[in-house]
Order: sequence, then C-alpha cells, then structure tokens
Amino acid sequence: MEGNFVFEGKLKQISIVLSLLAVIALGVSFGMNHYVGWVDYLVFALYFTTVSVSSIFFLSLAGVLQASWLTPYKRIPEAMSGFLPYAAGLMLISIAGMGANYEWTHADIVQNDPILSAKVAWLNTPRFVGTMAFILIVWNLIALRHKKVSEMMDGSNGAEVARKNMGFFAVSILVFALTISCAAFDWIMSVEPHWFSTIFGVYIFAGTFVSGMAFITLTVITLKEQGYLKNVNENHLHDLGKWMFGMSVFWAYIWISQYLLIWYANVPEETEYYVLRHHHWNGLFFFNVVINFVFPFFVLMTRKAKRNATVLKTVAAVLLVGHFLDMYIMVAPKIFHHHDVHHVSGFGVVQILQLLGGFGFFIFIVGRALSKRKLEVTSDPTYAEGAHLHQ
Amino acid sequence: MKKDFVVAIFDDEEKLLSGAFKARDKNMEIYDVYTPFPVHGLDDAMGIKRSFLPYVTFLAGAAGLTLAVSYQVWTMAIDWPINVGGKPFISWPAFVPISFELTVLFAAHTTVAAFLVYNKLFPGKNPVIMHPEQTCNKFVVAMEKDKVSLEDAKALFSEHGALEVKIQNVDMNP
Repeated sequence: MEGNFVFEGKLKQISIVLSLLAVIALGVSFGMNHYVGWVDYLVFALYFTTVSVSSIFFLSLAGVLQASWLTPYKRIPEAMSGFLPYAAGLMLISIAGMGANYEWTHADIVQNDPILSAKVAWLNTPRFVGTMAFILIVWNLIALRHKKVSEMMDGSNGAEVARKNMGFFAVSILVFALTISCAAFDWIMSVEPHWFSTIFGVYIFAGTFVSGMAFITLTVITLKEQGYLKNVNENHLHDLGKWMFGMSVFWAYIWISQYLLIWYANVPEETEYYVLRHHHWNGLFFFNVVINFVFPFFVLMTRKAKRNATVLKTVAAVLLVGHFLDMYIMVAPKIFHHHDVHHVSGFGVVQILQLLGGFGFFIFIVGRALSKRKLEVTSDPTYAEGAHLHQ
Repeated sequence: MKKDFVVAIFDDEEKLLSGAFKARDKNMEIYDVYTPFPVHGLDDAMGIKRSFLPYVTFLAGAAGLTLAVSYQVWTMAIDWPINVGGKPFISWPAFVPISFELTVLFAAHTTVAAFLVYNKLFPGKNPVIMHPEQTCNKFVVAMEKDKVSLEDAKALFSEHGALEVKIQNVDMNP
C-alpha cells in the first residue's frame, strides 16, 4: 500500500504565496471602502466555511449509509474538516464587521423601524454572536469526533468501530441540518433583515454540497495525476461527476423554488430581494444560474464527460467560482444599496483574486492535514468494496 | 423453436467473469449470460456495446420540454390570453414547473417503454431456461452451437472453474 501524501515543493510554495495574495486582495478591498472591505471579507469567510463544513456532512452521510463510494478518497473530506478551526477564526473575525454588514446591529435604525423592532428578540448582537460561537464549536466537535472515529478504525476492527458510531453519524447529520440552516438565516439572510425566505437554509446547503463535492473532485484528480490514489479509476470519477451533475440540478431546483414562489405571489416584502438584484445586478444574477446550472448540466450530461478527468476538472473549477459568485450575489447587493457604494466596487478581478488566494490558504491547511495520515483508508470496512467499484 | 447451445455453468461470479473475459479475448462469441443477480463488470466482459437508451431518454425529454413550453405559450398567450396578476402573458417562471414535469414524465416513461420493447419483455412472456438453477445459485454462459465448438468451450471454461460444459437443447419460444 502507498504511504502518505507528501505536501512540499511547488504546491506548498504556491499555496503560501496565494495565501499572502488573499490578504493583499482583502486589504485592497478595505482600502477602497470600509463597506466594500467587509462585504468581501464576509463573502470570503462564508465561502470557505461552507466548503470546509461540507466535509463533516459527507463523512456522516457515508458513515450512516455505510457508503463505499467515498472510502477510496475519504482522507480528502477528513482533511477538509481540518480547516474548520480556521473557518471558525475567519467567521469570528467577521464579528468585527457586523456594524457594516448587518443594519439590525444599529440601535437607532432598529428603533425607527417597526419590522426590525419586532425582530429584536432574535436579531440582536449577543444572541447572534452566541449562536455563531455555538454553531462553530458544534461543527468543530463533529469534525474532531470524525477524526477520532477514523483513528480508532486504523487501530482496530474497522467494522466494529463503524457499527458503534452509527448513532453519532446519524445524529450529526441532524445537527448539521439544523446548524447550517441556522447559520444561513443568521449569517447571510440577516444581511437583509426585512426579507425572509424559509427555503434559504436548503439553498445554502445545496450550494455547500456542490462546492464541497467540486473541491473533492478537483483534489482526487490532482492527487491521481501526481501518482497517488492508485485504486481510483474512471468509475470513481464517474461517481464524482454524477454528484456534481445531480447536486447542480438540486441547487437549481431550490433556486427556482425560491424565485418562482416569490415572483408569483408578488408580495412587496418578499420581492424586494429580487427587485434589488434585477435592478443593479441583473447580468451577474442570471450569469449565476448559467455558471452553476446550465453549464454543468449540459457539459456533464453524457457518460463520457463524467469519466473524463479534464472535463471534470474544468466543471469543478467553474462550480467553485460559481458558488463564490452565488455567495457574493447573496451578500453584496443590500449592503451596497444601503451605503450607496455601487460606484466603488462590484464583482471583479479583486474578488477573483481573493477567491484564488483563499484557495491557497485552504489548500495549505488541507494539504498539511492530508499529509499527516496514510492516504488509503484500508482500515475502513467499506474500503475493498469502494476500491472495486463498477459502473 | 428449439435451438442447440453450448452452455458453461459456474457457481461463482468471479470465475464467470474471468471466463467471459477470456472468451472475448479468444473471439468466442457469447450469445448471452444468465445470472441470478446483476454481476458488475459483465457488460465489459461480454463486450456489450453501450446501450442507445440514453439517447432515447434525451430525445423524449426534449420532446416533452418542447411540447410543454409550446402548449403553455399557446394556451396562455395565443388561444385565450389571461391576465394573471398583471404579469406578461408569456412568463417563463410560471412555465418552469410544468416544463420540468413534462420533460421528466416523457423521458422516464419513454425510457421504460423503449427498454421493454428493445428487450422483448411483455406480460406473459416465458423465460428462456438454459439451466434450471440460473435464477437461483448458478451462472450460465450460453454460446450458439454452430458458432462455438464444445471442445473449445470445454477447454476454455474448465480452466476458469466451470462446473460443467455441455450441449443444451433450449426452447426459445416456449
């Protein structure tokens, strides 16, 4: 069997350089404008938090279903969950920008606004910070527990460990569902505190699923190109392709579900969300659907495409950019409108550099975590089944 | 109609797979393989080409989509325009659910129908029985007798752990 992934040389250097780039690009945003800076920072923090938190969902899901498709490359989500402490750090720093991002943090605005006054029991700073800390701690605890389970599997009878932790896997999925919904409502939806959408949590979950799967796909193919993961073949790529295809469709389904009902009912307090986006952001708003649904849908439709590493890499990269744009479209418009900073910035080169730099940082942390343990999870009871996958 | 087949009987799917792969290498044409459950990799081993069903699905889906969109446009905007909440007659978001559903409906039903027709499956069809235990615990590789000789088959499949290789007269249209 193969040993560990070696994280050094070019990849490590590039990831460190890109991490610095992220800091500089975020600095540029803050230099342009206080509000632009905090918008970009919040999008940055949210995006990498969602990408990394998808990992605990994949691990719990595979655990509870005894799914074998994930086992040949299970170390990748395990390593991604190693980013969660840093994600927690990123999110906690965003508390410093609450005043800029969330209008409900200002007592004078809330006082003169009957709707916000009525929501004060939920939308207040101590409750917000407390819930955020709670959610981040819970995610980190789940990640730690997954790490422990995986280490126990290495040390003893994997099947026994998997069976004993079935309850943990099942409960953690439930906890994940509740916490990510709450996080979506708190951290993203409350940017527009007058507006509400009950499907919003599912929408964020769909995006999280797609971007997490895209990152896993990209990593699997890259590792394979470097000579690792010898057991992974085009049958496994086919699975990853199906996941990206299916979950992009799921994302689009939730997108249209939210849009359609609000459009049809035409109630002013609901339509304001889309009116705002159609007004200033119409191009990006629909481009978001093209890049996250239309493109992967038609490109990944055939079996051949799903089994082709180059096609998969391209689609995965596009989806990772697409869901960053999606996050930006959710956060930026209201704040830009509120503080009238449309002329200062938008979604452009600086934001793409932040994304690229963020991935440098993300890959640095994930790569380091990945290098610490044996890449092949032979101790997992479903490993043999997963390695001999047929399509 | 009765027909003679050379049948090789296995009790293990791995042996069956290796035998079938070898037969393909030696250009020994396999008529069909009968197994109690789907054996992964058997399509490859038998050298079966990709099914054309996905194209049927795609075309049927496209037909469903076209029908749904054109019918909605016709009813909502041309034949009997109705003002719904002041929205334009042709409002794409309102058409999405029905377009989606009809696409899925056409694609799914046509695929199943095409599958049944292509495999000549219909109610009351009697199964072809190469070996009485082919739906229980035995795996059967069948080759047409005029294309493969018993000796060749025996030499090849015995080597891969066939329990028995013999000539079988099978009723094809019971």
